Amino acid sequence: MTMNAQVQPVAPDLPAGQAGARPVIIRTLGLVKSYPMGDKVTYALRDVTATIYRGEFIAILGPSGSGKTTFFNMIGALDSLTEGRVLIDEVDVAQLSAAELAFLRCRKIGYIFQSYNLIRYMTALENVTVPMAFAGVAPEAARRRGMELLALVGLADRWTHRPIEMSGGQQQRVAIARALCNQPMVLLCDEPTANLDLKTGADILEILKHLNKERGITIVCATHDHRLLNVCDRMMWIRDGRIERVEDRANITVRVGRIGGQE
Amino acid sequence: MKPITVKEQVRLSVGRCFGLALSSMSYRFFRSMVTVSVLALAVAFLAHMLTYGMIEHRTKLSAYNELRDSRSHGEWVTRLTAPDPEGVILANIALALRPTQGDPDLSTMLEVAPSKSRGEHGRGVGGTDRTAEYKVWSGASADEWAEAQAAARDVEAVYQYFQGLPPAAQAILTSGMEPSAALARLARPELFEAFEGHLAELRLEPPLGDIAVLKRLVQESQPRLAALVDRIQAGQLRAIGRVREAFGGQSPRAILAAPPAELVKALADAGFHFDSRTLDGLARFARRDALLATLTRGLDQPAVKTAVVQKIGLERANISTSRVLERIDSASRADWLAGVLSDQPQPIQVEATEVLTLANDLRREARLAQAVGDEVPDQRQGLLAVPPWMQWLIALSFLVCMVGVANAMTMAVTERFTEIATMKCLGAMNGVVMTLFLIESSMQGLVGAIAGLILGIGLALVRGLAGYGDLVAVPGNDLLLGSGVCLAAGMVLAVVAAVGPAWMAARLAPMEAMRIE
Repeated sequence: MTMNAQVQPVAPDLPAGQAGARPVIIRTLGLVKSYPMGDKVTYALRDVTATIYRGEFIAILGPSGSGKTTFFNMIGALDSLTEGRVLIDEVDVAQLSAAELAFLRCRKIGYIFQSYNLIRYMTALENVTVPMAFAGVAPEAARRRGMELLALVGLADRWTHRPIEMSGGQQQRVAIARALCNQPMVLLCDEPTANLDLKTGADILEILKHLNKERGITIVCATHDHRLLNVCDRMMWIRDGRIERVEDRANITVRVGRIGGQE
Repeated sequence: MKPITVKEQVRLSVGRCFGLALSSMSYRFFRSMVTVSVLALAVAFLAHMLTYGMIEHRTKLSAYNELRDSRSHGEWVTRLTAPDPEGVILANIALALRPTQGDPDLSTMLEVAPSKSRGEHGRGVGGTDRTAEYKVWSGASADEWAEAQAAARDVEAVYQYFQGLPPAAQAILTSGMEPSAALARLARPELFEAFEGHLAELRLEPPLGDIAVLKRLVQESQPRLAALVDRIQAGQLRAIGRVREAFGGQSPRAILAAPPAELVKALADAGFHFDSRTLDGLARFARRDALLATLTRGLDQPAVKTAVVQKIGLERANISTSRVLERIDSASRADWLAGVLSDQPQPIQVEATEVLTLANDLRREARLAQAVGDEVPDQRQGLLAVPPWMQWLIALSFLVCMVGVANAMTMAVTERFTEIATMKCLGAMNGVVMTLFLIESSMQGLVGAIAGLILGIGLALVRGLAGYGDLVAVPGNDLLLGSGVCLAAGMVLAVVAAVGPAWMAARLAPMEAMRIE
């Protein structure tokens, strides 16, 4: 499978006519992730080959346990994989050194987690400036930029608060500001609205949509939230560790409208 | 659109890491304090055991050494009264292995230590080698002496063999006698055969490993050794006689009160072997003996007894010199006693200040003797001189300290695995993560160890003061060294215990680290 994929210049699921037209940012080839459980092996991902284009907003949908988060961790270079390859801008992640991986995670990819993963003893501003500190940005410049980003997500007045002093929505907005601080090219979101109420979730989606449209950041968003379908460009369904189907939003407008109406 | 170019992540300077570590520590102050407190307690335990062990030893040692003159006086009285008992002579012959030279204290330490029960009698005054006297008194040749030494060692070995047997076997083999008597019996051939029979029945190894060696010992060497011991005792008796003659037949206590130069000459002429420095402090004991005798004479008078009953409240039957002196604890009481004694029909004149000094000296000596306890303290200094049971306790407390520190730090780090994973997601290099934990754990280790040291040493000092009062002696250099050991142990352990698990988490991919719980 891997050998076969190397021969092909572009992802197999891409229609031939568009191959040159849409630049690819992340590709996976035959991704397999398995966990040995006693003498049996549990598969989280089985042979996933997918392509994510530059500048798009793609939603990854699927029931719990379908492998969404595993896929998300793989394309974010956050976890080891059992088989297959992840290419970020045609660079194989497996070939990067520890320092290069750190660089990639720090400056090129922004992560937003379901459970926010803020560092709990740091203030909002300190949390936002952590990746800049790792990137070697001077503390003063980092503080200035951190305040700008907090203002962007509407938390300028709460920069001294610690995570426990903030609501889930506020924490998630701090996490977004943190993800943006080194101007990433890709924003990976793992169920960013799952722990939030409807209104706050909508606010977060609004911010993501804004980032995608105004700044051209590629957004990959694993989610259960059907409102996301109004925002995204493409949808990918994952089930049992396999890609079930991939659709452009244009093809399913009617269904989205109906779901939106139900809410 | 610009492509993603992947470069190497910048490496942060130690200064930047320091800033990061400090900013996080300030908010985690409370959690850090919990860790630091556990650490401090662990180090305090170690520091306390270590310090107290050394303080106690030093206190006993200085008390023991302060009592040297008094001990030396007592030994000389014994030496000038009667010949050494057979057991002491045997032990001395068997033990005379090392040449005695240099510091008499050191030789006491070296030679008393192997046989503490006999130590005080077995060794000469101030650790002088008694065998030199024995050679002179017995007139033994070098060959004879070497043979006696070998025999004495064998005899001691047989005694130890008897003592090490199970009670039943011991009763059978010795017929319930003391080891020395049991060994002497074996000189008779029929009893030796019976002994052999018992050994075979009990299936025991013979003493000295070989029955033929034992036979030779009991039939040839041991009688010769016994004869030598007799000669030594006879020689010592003659020597005592000569010393007494030189001083006109006075009692040993009176002889020891003689001017040192005369005493040294008379003792050396009689063949006593000694370090003349040990005689220097003896004169004051002679004066003390005289004063004690006078007081005893005075306290025998009924009128004095009545006065004592009225003033001090002792029962008439319980009046003795030592008990009365115990209660002479002020100048006014000493004045009173001197007054009472001089008021009698046959007045007895004593100096009130001398009485008070004597009473104070006796009180102090009693306290010193109590501080020393039963064991003869090792004359060395530092940790190795501390008694073995204390060394075990210290080793144990070191173990407890290790486990305590390691546990506290490991707990504090494992609960931060998620944080390590998050930092790695945000682009932290492993080196940065490790540096952060190194800085934090070494600071916690330092603060904890210093707090623990202060607590542990403080407690040890308080305990020493409570136990020994003003007799307490603090070994400064040893304490400094001990503190260094505790500090290093606390810090190194804290760092190792923190950095170990942190490295475990940091070397994994971020999400793998996040899964460890």
